Amino acid sequence: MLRHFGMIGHPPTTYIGFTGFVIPYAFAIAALITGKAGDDQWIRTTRRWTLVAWLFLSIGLVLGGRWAYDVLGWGGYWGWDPIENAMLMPWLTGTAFLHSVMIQEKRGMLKVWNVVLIILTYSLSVFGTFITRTGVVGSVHSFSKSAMGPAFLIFVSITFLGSLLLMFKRMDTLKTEHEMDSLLSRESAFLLQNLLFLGITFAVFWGTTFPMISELVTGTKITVGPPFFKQVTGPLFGILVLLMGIAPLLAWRKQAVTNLGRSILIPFIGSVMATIAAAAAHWTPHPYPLALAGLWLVSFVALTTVWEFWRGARARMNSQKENFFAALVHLMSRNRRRYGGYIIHLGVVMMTLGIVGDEFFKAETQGTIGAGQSLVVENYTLTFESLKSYMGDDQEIVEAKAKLYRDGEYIMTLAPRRDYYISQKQPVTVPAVYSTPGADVYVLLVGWEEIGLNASTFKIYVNPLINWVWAGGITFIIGTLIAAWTSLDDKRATSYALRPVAAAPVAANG
Amino acid sequence: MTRRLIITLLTIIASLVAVAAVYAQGGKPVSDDDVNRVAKQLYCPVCPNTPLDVCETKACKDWRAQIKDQLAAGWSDDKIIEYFVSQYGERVLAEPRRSGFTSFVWLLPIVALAIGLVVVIQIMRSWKSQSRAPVPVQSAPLTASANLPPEVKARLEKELRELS
Repeated sequence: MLRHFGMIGHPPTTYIGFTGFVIPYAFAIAALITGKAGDDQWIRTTRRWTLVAWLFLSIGLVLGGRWAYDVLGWGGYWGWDPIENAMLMPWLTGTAFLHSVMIQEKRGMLKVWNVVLIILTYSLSVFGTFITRTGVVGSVHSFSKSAMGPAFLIFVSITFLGSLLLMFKRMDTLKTEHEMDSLLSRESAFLLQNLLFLGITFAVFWGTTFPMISELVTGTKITVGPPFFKQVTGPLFGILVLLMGIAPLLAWRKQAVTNLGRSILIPFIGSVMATIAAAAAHWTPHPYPLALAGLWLVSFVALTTVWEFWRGARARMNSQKENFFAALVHLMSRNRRRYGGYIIHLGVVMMTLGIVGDEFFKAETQGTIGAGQSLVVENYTLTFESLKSYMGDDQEIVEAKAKLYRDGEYIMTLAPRRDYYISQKQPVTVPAVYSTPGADVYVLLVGWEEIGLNASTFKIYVNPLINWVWAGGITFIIGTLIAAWTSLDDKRATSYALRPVAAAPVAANG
Repeated sequence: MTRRLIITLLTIIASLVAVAAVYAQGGKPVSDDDVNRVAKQLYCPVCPNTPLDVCETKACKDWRAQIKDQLAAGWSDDKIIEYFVSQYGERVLAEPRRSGFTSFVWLLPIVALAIGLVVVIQIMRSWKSQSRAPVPVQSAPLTASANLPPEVKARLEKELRELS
């Protein structure tokens, strides 16, 4: 169970991610103490450190999800378990931070807010460790418990409150330099995005800690399960993805409505057509409004993002007389941070597609069948062939053989297993999966008749589009690597801020 | 005569009801999918954060068997869930109730988001009102841009061209 590649990579990457945030945090605190947090040197110095910490946290999340999917045997990759949430929270605030530092670099705004975000991110990392190591909330991650719980809680509180106190004492050094001209501008989009990330973080935090609060207040522990998190954060994630599609098109300071309309017109028409096509296709058995909205969202954001690449490449093709691919490569290598970011956005869109498919179109069935009998789910049929048991290295294995058919046509023979590890006294359900970009058929051997081995119980999940979650995760990681990679243009890029260096020369000229 | 008729009728009605009840019990076999539909909404108090429909422990198997019996006896989904709540408390519910104390878990994120939205709108307004005051200074950065190093100027020119 712990021998899966995801479980080998998940703990160290998560650990690097958690601890990596100490670097931007330490620089922020140092900048506050020395009164230099107002200039954005600390952000520029630690930008790559932040990206790398965030990258490792992302890898940790993806590997953990993949491991859960392959090994835990419930057909999913994210269960809103307290420990998963503890890892998601610093990732969310870290993502908000990575975006909102751009507004400080380019426009000299949101200085206080960026300090708050990095304090939050670091404190949540420590809080995550607290939740994980002390076992205050029940979780599938049964770590060894330790007695350092209270000490840890005091440490988290001191870190968080002390940092905030320091920030308030230094508030005078964090004056905003600039302003904007219109409510429709990139600045507003960044603010809204920050609000959404923080809103989601709060909902996750509140849902994760509520069982403890409930026990303290009313004496009864309650469960806050996936339905809560899905219903509360789902719509917020949806708006966030929409914003991710539109915000890169917005200009700083002021965005003309007609221009915006022109740049989203083609993606909008394309996405509506794609949604209609998807609704008409056979694989959507219940095209209810929410699912269609999700599909529209995914196609719209995918198209606006691809459109950005196309526009940039076309401009280079015209000005530099390059062919399309050369233009695309040069465009991206000249502007790694920006286009790396867009690739990350594409990765998120792909993941969203997988999540929409999994949330709205998932199907499952369970049943006990004898040899030769079949279970049917959607257009798949599983016919049970035989069951055998044998010994592995350290485990007793019971393995079923079953043939999988789609629309009556034979696809392959699946062999779901149940391994019983003798030394650990632990049963492990090993799913058999037929995996395609369209859907996974995920078969579990749930049980069998002890006598005669004639009838077995299977659980079958059809998980549509789930592979897009993993493909999106890989795309996401590649995008982050591109954005974090050192480029020769870095010096020029950083000196090339939109705002004037200081207010003084402006006043002198005016 | 009439009395006899009433008794006969009552007997017939009663037997019909009994037949219907028996039919409801044994008519439709309870499938594993029916059990899972109910079990999905429940968590057993022993296994933390593993929904009842996927949990593999002995206790959870017993619960599922119990749900199967209750469904076979004609209980509705809600009645079964209500039964488990009365036996083991609200912690068996996957989704916290929207009434009583647990309504806070639903309300607070919405309240927090609303407050956040008000704050964000205030910030945007303050940014905008600041920009209205120094209108004459707006032309200054243009003259200041003359002091830019040549490579930055060249890049500006180029990007402006690319934008159009």
